[in-house]
Amino acid sequence: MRVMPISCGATRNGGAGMEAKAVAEEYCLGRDGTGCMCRRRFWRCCCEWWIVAAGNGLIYMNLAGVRAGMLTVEGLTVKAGDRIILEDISFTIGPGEVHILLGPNGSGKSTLLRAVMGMGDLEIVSGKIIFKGVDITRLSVDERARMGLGIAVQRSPALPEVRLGDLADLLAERYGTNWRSSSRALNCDYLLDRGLHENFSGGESKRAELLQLMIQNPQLVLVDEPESGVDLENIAVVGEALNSLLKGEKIKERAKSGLIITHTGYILNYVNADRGYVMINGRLVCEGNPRDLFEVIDKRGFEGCMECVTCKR
Amino acid sequence: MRNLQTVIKERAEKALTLPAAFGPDFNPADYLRPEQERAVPGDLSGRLREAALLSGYDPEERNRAGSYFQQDETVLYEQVSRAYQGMVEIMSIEKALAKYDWLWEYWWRAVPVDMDKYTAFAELHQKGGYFIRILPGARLDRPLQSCLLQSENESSQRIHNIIIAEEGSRAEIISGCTTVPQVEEGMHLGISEFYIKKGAFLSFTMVHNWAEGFHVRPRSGAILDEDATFINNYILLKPVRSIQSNPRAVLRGRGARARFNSIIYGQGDSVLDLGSVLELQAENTRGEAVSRAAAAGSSRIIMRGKLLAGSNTAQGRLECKGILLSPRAEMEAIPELEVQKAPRATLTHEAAVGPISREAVEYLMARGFTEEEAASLLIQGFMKVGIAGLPEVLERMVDEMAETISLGGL
Repeated sequence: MRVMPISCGATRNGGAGMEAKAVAEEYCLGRDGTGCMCRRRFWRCCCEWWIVAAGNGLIYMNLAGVRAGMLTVEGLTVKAGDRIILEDISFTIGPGEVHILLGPNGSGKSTLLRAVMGMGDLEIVSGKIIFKGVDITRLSVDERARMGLGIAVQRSPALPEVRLGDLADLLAERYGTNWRSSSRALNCDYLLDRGLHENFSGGESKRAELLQLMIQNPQLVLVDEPESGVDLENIAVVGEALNSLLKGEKIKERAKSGLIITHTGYILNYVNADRGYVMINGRLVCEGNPRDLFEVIDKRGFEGCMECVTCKR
Repeated sequence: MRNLQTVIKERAEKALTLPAAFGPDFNPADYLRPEQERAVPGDLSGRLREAALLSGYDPEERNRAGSYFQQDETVLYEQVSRAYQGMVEIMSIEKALAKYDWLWEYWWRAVPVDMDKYTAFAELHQKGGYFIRILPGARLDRPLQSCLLQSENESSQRIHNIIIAEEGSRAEIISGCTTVPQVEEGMHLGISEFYIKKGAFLSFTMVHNWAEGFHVRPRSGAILDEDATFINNYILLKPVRSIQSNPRAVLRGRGARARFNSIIYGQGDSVLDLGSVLELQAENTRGEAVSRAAAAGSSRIIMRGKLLAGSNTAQGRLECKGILLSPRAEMEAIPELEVQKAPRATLTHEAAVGPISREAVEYLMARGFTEEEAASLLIQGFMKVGIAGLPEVLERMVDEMAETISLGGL
């Protein structure tokens, strides 16, 4: 039996990590490695041990050495101008995993996404960003995009010069995808003749972003607040589209990884998130089950969250 | 008639030293060459053909209703395609003036002969130019084309064109001005007078393709009668020493419409002072002037635009937008709105000058485009956006131009 290296949603206080049940079963390829789903389940505990529930017994496997994430960020410290925005950030997102980033306004969440994508005038002071085993810390934005990174930023700039339909055609040519059905599903058809994001509503902008991502078909999707400025009706469209983007349309297709910033948590109703982080003042202070984290924050705010004994702040 | 011509000549003589209101000053007489030095006219093959193509002229005349081709001072070609005989006339202006005595009534009516020394010089040393007349009710479903080519170095063209769109007619003209590659310096004075009669529609596209040592002074004017429509497209994508032009359309008939579209790309040390004046004199007239400019190298671009409303029901809009592609380039946008005793007229303007948006480039790069691809995509779009019904040949030219742009200087 082979185990694909993944890290799933463990909690720091979970003992054997049983409550941090993950989607690990999807990554068990079965004895012959043909990709059939075996019935065994994997969970991860707080250390690098995996618990394999096989029949009546529990088998422990140490995967520390084989863990190779889709994205690994190691000790990343980032400056914008003279200010340190991100400090010593480390995490790993495995193939097919979706991680959620929570945190108050101005905590550095968007900067983290932009740093991973290589956007903005940011200075990497120390640390590494590794994507599919390649150090991309010094690569340009377009090189990262062509390797399989994709981003939907929170507030897209207006590009009146470029019509959405024309851009979709160019992207489709580049990435070899068919986009007409995605455009219909995202209700983008009426936007195709318009300049990109020019006088788009919040929902229109998000849908246009997702359409581009669907054509681009990246392996790691970075999404900054998919629900911001979007009304309830559109949240469902955006949420479902994001979910289908992450899952991939074909069964054979490997699910994508994702890192999603959310403020409201609505997106958790649509996307199967594996792990959550809380960022405060440029540091990741907590990680765990995204729903648990969000529940605490929803009830007690980030103030309450920071009072937690496990907070690394 | 003799008398009228004498008066015109006298007015020209008096204005021969009058500098133009705008643009760098030079002496047009420096580009007058003696007769014996003139190049022998060629045929429409080889280098002439290449140059013609660059100005949007199709030597094969596919999909053209008629053509006019002038090399330096010689008319090489003037012909109406067979299917369009009886719908349109095309001939050299000399021939037309000899044929139609009434044409003198149109001579210097839309452009004053004493506007400046360039109009004056063009009158006193005029050689060639075309006469195009679309006959009443004729609706041409294919464009007419003309090409004014300069093949001699340090020479000049002094052209006078008259275009008459008779009542209820409809036509499109693509007019190219170009040089062969060996020509580096020269002067072009081009007078174009447009008369668009009741209910007529005329779309006129001028493509300029000059060399780096050329001074160009087009002087255009249009007079629009009731319900007439005039669309004037201007495109300049090649380097030039200086161009100054400020065509004027007078909408004197009610319900007349005019639109000036300009696509200007400044390179090298080019000085480009380009604008338009729309006089919305009659009721329900509509005027629009839209300019898009990109300044590279050490070029200097001045975008002018002036709307004058003389009727309460007149509406006009100006839009000048420019991007700077080099730290040495300069750009000015000078929109002017003037209402003359028509307090309910509506005139608006929008002007913007700035660099290409770094954020937009990065946005496209995040989709996998290289920096150059992203910039060229933005510039292509920028130059074309808002300019409705751009002929296909121009779209292609703009696309090709945008592909050559690099943002190295920024």
